[in-house]
Amino acid sequence: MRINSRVMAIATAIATMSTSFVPAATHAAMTNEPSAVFSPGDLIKGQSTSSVYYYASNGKRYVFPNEKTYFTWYTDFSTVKTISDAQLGVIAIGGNVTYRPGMKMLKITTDPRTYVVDQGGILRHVGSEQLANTLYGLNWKNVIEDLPDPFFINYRVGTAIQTASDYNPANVKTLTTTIAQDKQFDETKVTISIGSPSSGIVPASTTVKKGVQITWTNRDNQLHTVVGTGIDSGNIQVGQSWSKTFDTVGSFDYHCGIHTSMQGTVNVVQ
Amino acid sequence: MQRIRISFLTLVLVATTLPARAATIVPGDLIKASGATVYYHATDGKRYVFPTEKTYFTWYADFGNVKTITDAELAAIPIGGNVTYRPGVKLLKITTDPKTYAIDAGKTLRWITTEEAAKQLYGNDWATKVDDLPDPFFINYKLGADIASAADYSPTTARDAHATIQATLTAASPTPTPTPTPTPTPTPSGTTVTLTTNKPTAQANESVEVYASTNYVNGITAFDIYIDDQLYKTCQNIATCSFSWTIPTAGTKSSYTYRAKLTTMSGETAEATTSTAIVSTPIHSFIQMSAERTTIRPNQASSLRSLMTDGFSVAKNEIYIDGVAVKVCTASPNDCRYTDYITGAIGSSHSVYAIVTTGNALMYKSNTLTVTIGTNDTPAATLTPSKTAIYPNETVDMTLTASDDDGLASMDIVKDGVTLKSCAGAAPCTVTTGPWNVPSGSVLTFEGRAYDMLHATATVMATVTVQ
Repeated sequence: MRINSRVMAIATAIATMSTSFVPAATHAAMTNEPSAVFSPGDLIKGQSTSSVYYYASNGKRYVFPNEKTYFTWYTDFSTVKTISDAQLGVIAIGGNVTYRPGMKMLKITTDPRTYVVDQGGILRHVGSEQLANTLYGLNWKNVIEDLPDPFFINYRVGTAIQTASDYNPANVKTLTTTIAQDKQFDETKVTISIGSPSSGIVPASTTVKKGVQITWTNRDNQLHTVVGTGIDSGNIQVGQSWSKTFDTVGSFDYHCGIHTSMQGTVNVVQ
Repeated sequence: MQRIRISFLTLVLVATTLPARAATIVPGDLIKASGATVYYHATDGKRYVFPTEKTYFTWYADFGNVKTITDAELAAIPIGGNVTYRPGVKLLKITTDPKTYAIDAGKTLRWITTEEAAKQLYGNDWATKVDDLPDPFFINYKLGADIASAADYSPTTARDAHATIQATLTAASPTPTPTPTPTPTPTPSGTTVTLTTNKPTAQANESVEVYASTNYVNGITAFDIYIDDQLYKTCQNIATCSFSWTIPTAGTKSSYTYRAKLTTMSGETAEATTSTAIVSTPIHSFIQMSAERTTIRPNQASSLRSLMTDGFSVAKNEIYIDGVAVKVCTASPNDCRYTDYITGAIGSSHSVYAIVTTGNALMYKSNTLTVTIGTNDTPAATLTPSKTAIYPNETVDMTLTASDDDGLASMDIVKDGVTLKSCAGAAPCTVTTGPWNVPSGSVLTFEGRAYDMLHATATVMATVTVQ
């Protein structure tokens, strides 16, 4: 399945020149039935579009600029959850995912400098072939990937690598196993978006750890509330938020007091 | 609408016959090298990337004015960013969100909330003027105020205000804020950035931690820490940012300056700085240099001791008198003793200190004692606790023993200037102190004073840790 999806994805890129990264529509890998159940750290896609996003604890989605970026973090598309187009539209784009640190070296076509990737999308110039050899072995040239020019600004250039002790590919890889770690999302704070009555609450059902503070943000153009057992936000104006910390394990249902069809669940686990 | 897709993601100029030869370029030029990609050369000396062909054609009708430079020249020009759509020309949306945006100054996207407004601004065929913006380029724009009615925005005004790409790079805020109150700093009101380091002084190869935090609670675009103006660590979406780094061994700098810069999602910034001064051999409080006598007679031995406390472990311990190493301990380096004569005239003073070397080649210095040669030596005194560590609310016994050739007059055990016990004569002096109701982690320091019959005084210290 993995080989198949890689071949398909590459073919897609060449044939259609599509811009945001689109995985091959391998139906075996993901069901297209929309779900309203997802949580921070999940991969999501819309029902009628094929771009995959990383859903973060701040309630935003992060774009994979290309396939190569995706495959530094994931080996396949088996964990991608499909959500409705309306729900996806409610989730704001937060930014772009960058290469996982330690996996590859990067360069741009119009500049001979080769960079390693450090946490937070920092590029660090590798000054000599000898140094690249020490960091990535004899086949270090195979580790270099070309970063398309328009993605260069997703990164920032940090201090250069002077000696091998400045950067250890294995260590930075171990320290940054998730996009949340790379972007340093505060996973003790989780944001849920309130959409329109037709799109509903996004995600309608989500699972968080005990002690997490949940913030509901009104991303619709009208007034909403969240009401449930032990939950009473009062009016949440357009663009405003309301927060509550969940200190007990359990399943908490809530709804909008004005539009009762807008319902949601927070599952709190240890 | 023309839908030729020439290249994946980068704009490529086709069918050029220009030779790859150096040309004189000035800001505002379109440039390329032997590759086909075209860039905008801005006044900041950087090149700006056209992320899509459609972006290019909002600014130029064709590729008529592209100058070709050498590959080396192009490589020397850093990438400054991406070019955005010319304001007022097109409407934008992303495929996964139904909102349609107009483009305004400052690279802002403004949501046109009603179809009515879109019609008034762009005509009945407004929908044909909407381009899909690829998701990865959404962050090249900022979100501005909504456009609820046609009065909120004018495509012609927006377009005319941006005749060149340079105008978007240096553009002012789209809606000038009414009566901007002059403030001393551009800092968001009440927002502070705190930057601290655990080592204001350090030596080469030493590990230093740097920690930045802010009280800003809303969206944070970037929280960056620079070392000597080079970006070292970037944090996003979080109100704290920290790292540890190792002072370079190759450097010749006398200090390193850290600067933390907070950029909020509303574009405001706040900064703080701190620094680490580089010293060759910093003093470390865990090295306890002591002398049995601080005043000795000529040809009398003073027993010197360099002891590591608080679990500090070293590979080498050297005792120095007047800058000369008189004893090197490598076998049991955590407790190094030297007992020998110190030669010198009566009245001369001699500095005594220890330098230790850790397993990873860091060097630290102890406190410096002064040993004086006098006609009367000070008593040799030792203050010993019954336990070196106690729990809160426990008591501890302190015992002071001393000897002197001239005979001992008295001994005092003192804490924080208060005499706990006074003993006459030469018999060991013991006092039970406490119970000490102090927090865990406190260190109790006791002082022993021994007076000989000729009024020479020895002062010794001992510490007890509260666990």
